[in-house]
Amino acid sequence: MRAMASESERVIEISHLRKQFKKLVAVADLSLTVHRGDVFGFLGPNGAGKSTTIRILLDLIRPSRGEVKLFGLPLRSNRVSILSRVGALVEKPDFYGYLSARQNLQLFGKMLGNTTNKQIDAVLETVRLRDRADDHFKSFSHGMKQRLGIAQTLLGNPELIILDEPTAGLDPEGMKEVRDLIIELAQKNITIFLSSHLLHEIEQVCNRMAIINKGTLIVEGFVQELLRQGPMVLIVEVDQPAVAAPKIAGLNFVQRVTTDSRYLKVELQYQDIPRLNQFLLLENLQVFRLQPQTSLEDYYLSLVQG
Amino acid sequence: MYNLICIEWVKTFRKLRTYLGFLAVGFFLPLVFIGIKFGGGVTAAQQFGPFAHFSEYFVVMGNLFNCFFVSQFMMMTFFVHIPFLIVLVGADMVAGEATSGTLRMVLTRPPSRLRMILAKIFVSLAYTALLIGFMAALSLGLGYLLFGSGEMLLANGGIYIVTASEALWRMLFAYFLAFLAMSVVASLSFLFSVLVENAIGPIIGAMVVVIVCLIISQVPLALFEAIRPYIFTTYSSVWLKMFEGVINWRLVFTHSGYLLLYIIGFFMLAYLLFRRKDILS
Amino acid sequence: MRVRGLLIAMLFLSFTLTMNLATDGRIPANPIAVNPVTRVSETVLPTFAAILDSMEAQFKRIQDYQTTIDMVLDVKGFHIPPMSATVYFKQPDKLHFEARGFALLPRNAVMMTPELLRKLAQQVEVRTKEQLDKRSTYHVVLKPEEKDKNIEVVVDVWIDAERWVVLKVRTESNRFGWMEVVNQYDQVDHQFWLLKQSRVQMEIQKEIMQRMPRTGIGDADRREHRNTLLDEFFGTGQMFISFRNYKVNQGLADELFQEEKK
Repeated sequence: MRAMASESERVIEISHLRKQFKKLVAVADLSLTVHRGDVFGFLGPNGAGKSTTIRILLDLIRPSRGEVKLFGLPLRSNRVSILSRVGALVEKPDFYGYLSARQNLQLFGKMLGNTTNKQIDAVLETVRLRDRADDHFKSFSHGMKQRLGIAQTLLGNPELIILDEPTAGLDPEGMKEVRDLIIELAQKNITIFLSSHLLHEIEQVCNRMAIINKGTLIVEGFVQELLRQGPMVLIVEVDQPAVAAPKIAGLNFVQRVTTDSRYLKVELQYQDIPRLNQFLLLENLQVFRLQPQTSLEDYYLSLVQG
Repeated sequence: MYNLICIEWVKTFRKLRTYLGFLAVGFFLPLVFIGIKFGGGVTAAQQFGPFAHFSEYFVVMGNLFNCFFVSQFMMMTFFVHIPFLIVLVGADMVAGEATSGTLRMVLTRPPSRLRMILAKIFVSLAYTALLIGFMAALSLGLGYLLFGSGEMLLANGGIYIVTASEALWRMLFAYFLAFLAMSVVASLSFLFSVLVENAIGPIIGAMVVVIVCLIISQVPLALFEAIRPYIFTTYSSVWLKMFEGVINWRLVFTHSGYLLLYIIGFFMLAYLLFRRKDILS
Repeated sequence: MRVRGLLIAMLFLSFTLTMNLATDGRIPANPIAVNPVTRVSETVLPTFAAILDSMEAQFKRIQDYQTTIDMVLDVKGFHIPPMSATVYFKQPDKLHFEARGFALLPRNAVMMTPELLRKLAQQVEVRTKEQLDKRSTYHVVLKPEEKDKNIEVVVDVWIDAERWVVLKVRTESNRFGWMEVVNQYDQVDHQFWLLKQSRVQMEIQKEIMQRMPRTGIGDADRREHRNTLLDEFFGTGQMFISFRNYKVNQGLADELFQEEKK
């Protein structure tokens, strides 16, 4: 968990952002802050306003009201200097099909200034596309296209990377690669603003997050802190689940116990997990697994639906 | 800015669609010339023009049916055919990128929308110039090989015969004025391209506007008289002035000025719309 | 003695006047008289055949020639830069023309050979012997036969009675209009009288001019030019032709005169 950064290190500042398309209010009144070094998860159901917000951050859409600052500078009046420090992938990666991967990156690199072929090779190596660098983009699989999209965001050594559903359409292996890459980038103190539907992905890579619904911010904060605010579901795997279940249900700090075929799901607070562990050991039960289930899903659903 | 122009150049000239215009001209023009040359022989009327009527009393020498005559004939395609080839590229400049999604990708990069669109405008105009230059070179070059050179007959308020050297600069100037006229078409299709997200609409829309305006310009109806001064096709035939015996330079510069205004106006409107456009694709 | 002399003079004058009236039944339509004609009464005129024989005797001395001609056209409604061409001639009537560019040459200016005169003489009349620019000439009127019976052509030719060359030709056609060619000659190689200058005046019929293209191609402004052809002076004017660089009897090959197949 990264400590909260100081005032001077605010990378993204959104203040009372509103965007209305005729009668549709896509973003109602959104305010949030992203600090340097954060891996910030941006969650919300379909139509919540995530993509609209991201597009506003990248000056693809003009806000109806409100202010957006990146690196402490207003976006509208400092677009060029800001975007030269930002790498972004909005929705699916669309490149020029009649150009090769390398040519596409050269083209985008030219817009940043003079990106060298060495730098292009380096980013291609990072996303494991070096051996397909000279193949036309239109011949790429979905995963390869996604990786090239991420490679494009890495050009110019950005300080902020904005990713809108970067693992969409990827197989599990591809998803893991992207997650690992994000973690690797975060370790280099690159700020990452990440929008995704995959809650476990957010939970695994993000340190801070915000959830919006119907264009309005519902919650914002550190992931772990937020998760602890709500109930946790713990997967408990013991040698005698039928024996353990009633005993656990009788504990006063356990809210609920449900039984699956091989394991138990126990609802309790995060801080009571060691107590449960101790109880099971005292009951001479062999404990194979104590795993928190993706409680972010429950937390998210409770916020969005509730 | 140079980098952006290079990028737009690569994007435009790596597309097959860009070469359709060159292919069309490169196929059609030689076909017509060869048909004229070898199709049935040149009659006296064609070779000597109106002077064929004098053949009983005069010995008429020379060849008026030369590269300048056939090139002049081919310039009639500047009314409808060439505009279509121009809008194929102009209409695709922004709308095509919107359709493919690359516009979204490109606009997340640092260069301002103004510089982006200026680069696109430059390449649009460059394509127009190249296509017309190609047509001029092919027309005059192939025309010279097949029909030779010679004087040019002009018939406006009298019969004028101009020397080959004068005919050449008149032709070149005519092609330049035609470039101005076609640039208006390019700028109009570019404007339409900014408005929508699919290139087909701007292509059809621009051609409809060109044809309708052409009808208004040419059909002598009292109703159209009031509108005529305000539509660009009234001035698009400025290149024809180079084929008048005595060139009305005042009119040439005036009409050229109007065309320039249309070019600047359409492009400026395109930029203003593009600057405020929400990229939702 | 004085009265008798006066009577003879009066008889002579009245006879002359009568002869003038008899021989000159047509007043020239052309108001522009370049060379005033002084008629000399002749009781006996040679036949046309005799005139042609004399012309041929002179002309046959020239087996062939080539010359460079420069032409300047000054006809209302026509704007043609000065033209230049090379004319090749070989006996009896072979002609070949070469021009680098466009050139318009009146046939009557170069083609009035004895052979051609003979061909035109379906109807011929040696009308009179006249003074033309201080040269004594035979005025011959020819009416060639036209294939189209609706066309009437009259050719008046004035032939130098000493040099046996054509000094003036006037062609009048009810279809084309009229054309008058006045020639000046120079002696080439100290022996051959060949053309030095020709002045051609013409008036082209409105019917011919109306076949001319009125405007250029596809021009919306063409209405301003439409009335030009109604100008009554459109198609009237003159042409100046000069001949230089003669090369006579060089032995021109017959192949030069073979017509190119189009």
